[in-house]
Amino acid sequence: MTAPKTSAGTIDQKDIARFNALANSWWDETGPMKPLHLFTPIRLDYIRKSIQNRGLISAKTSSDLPLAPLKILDIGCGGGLLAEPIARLGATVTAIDASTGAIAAAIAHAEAHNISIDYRCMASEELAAIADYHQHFDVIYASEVIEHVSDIHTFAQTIAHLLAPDGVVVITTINRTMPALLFAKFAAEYIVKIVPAGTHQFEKFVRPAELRSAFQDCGILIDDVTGFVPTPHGTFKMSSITAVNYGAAGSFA
Amino acid sequence: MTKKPEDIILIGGGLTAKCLALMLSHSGYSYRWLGLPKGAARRDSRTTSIHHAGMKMLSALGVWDNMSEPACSIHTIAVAKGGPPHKTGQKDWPLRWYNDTPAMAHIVRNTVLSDALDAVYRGPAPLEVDITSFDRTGDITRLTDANGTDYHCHLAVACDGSASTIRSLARLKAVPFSVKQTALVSLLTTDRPLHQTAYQRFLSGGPLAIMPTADYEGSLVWSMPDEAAHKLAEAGAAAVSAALQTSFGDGLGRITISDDVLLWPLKPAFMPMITAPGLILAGDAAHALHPLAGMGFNLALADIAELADCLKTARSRGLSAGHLSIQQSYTAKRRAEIISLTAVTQSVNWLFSQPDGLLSSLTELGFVGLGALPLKNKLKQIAMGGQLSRPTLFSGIMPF
Repeated sequence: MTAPKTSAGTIDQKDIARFNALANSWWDETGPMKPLHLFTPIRLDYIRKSIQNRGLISAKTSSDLPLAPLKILDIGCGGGLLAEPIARLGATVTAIDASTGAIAAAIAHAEAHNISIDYRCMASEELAAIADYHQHFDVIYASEVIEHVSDIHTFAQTIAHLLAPDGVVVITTINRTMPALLFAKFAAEYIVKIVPAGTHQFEKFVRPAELRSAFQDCGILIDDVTGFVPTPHGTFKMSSITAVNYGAAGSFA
Repeated sequence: MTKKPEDIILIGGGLTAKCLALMLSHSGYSYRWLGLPKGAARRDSRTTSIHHAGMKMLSALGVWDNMSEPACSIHTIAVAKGGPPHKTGQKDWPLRWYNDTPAMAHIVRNTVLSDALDAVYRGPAPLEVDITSFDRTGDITRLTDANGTDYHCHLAVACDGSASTIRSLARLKAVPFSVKQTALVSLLTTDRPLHQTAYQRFLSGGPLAIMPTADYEGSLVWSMPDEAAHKLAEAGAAAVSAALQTSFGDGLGRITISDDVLLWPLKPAFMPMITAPGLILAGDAAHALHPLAGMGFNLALADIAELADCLKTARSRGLSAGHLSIQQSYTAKRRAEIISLTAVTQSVNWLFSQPDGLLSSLTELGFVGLGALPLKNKLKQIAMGGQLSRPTLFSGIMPF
């Protein structure tokens, strides 16, 4: 069996072995990542819908690989919870994360499942510094990431640099509202177990208007904001209520 | 490096497993089929009742048109409490449900259905293995057989019957109902035509059902206390015919048992959980009903049809077959129906098996209630299928 294409970047092979155990934790749907797994279907639906709405793929395709022609960048991929399904649908996926642990886990899991994803342990700015990636990606998404970013204006500029002229950017995150604060407090599992304490700082949560403004400054028009609300079955559905979790999508104006 | 896990492993060898394998062969997910080790194959003279929606599903899967003999349609269900009337002129079958189109149900011989399923199936054949352990680590389910061979997958689907091994290995509970009844199962012929009618008498020992398989032929499922069932079966076919004639009455003329009489111990049970991480139960493994309503296989078809929709959705999202969202939506779609049908069949059986007396008078009232609208319509709709559950296959459309 040939090993799938992986780019471990600066990661030592020994690290990969060491983080195999963590791969199980990222992909254990009953473990600490359960909330992210529950949140996966709606995020995939929203990313796909955003791509379809901008005509990059047809909504009516019956192909098993509907995303086949697209080059997609996953910023803050973690263990690859979204990158794997996106790759399975045929896209050429580059996925980056600043955490060596997450990337090692992601590589181990993708290898075990024979899924080809170009994983790199780096920040988006580092990727943007590579000339080949200028205007390279048809789709760039950052899911549950922007709330950890220190400067969303720089972040938006980096995305604008990497995005193809007719590309689509998709962001999913948590709103900075009272309901979101309450949700975040009550959903202790979500906050406490997934990220180290203090990572989710309420003041860093991003409002849709702020997101829109940051992207507008670099020529990207955010023209869709959709809320994600929980259902009684523990799943999520799209809604006009954006008070807690929401997705936003846009392209160059 | 370990081998890439299979998307799905199916466990089971009965009608549900065969039908589920057929569905999986269209799903686009990779799968392996682990059948049950060959036991002494029991001759199966049982028949299966399939409602209208189930018939459409089997048509979509190509099974219905491949049956070597056509199903017998039921247009009338006739129900009575107690034995035949003593006085002439007294009305028998106080409760009758009739529907012209579509038929209320279709009766198929299990062997005919099984052969048709085999004939249209074009997927991997079942391996005969005995699974002895179930383990879920991360997003991988590992099954081990008696020879120590491991099978890795994202999702195990168990339809290995009401005494499911996989269910107990995964430590999912089955809460048994003590009914202490055994069913006598056989085929029969009648002097007078059955007129596409299913008959059910709620006798004090348990329900007696005759399902038509042809104009003058039917199948018998007669539930009675364990001891009585064994005694009667040992007495032979002639004795069963005589007892049946007495208990059923002369409405169908002379009734003759025309096949071996099999004993089928009834072990209805309720399964509070029909999924676990990396595991989905379907068919009798997920719901063991009293056969009185003839709904067992219809529920199994609904399980398969709903699972088909869940898999279709997951696959279109690029998710693995073991993703949490599949178990979630399968449970959400199946639980209510399984709970309500289990409750209805259990309480009906209990109510009508009570000895005469005050309680019996109450059941008479309840019986009148069963015939009253709108409960009557509701029950009729449930009997005909698809009221609680509307998966794509129940409309006769392949979801894939």
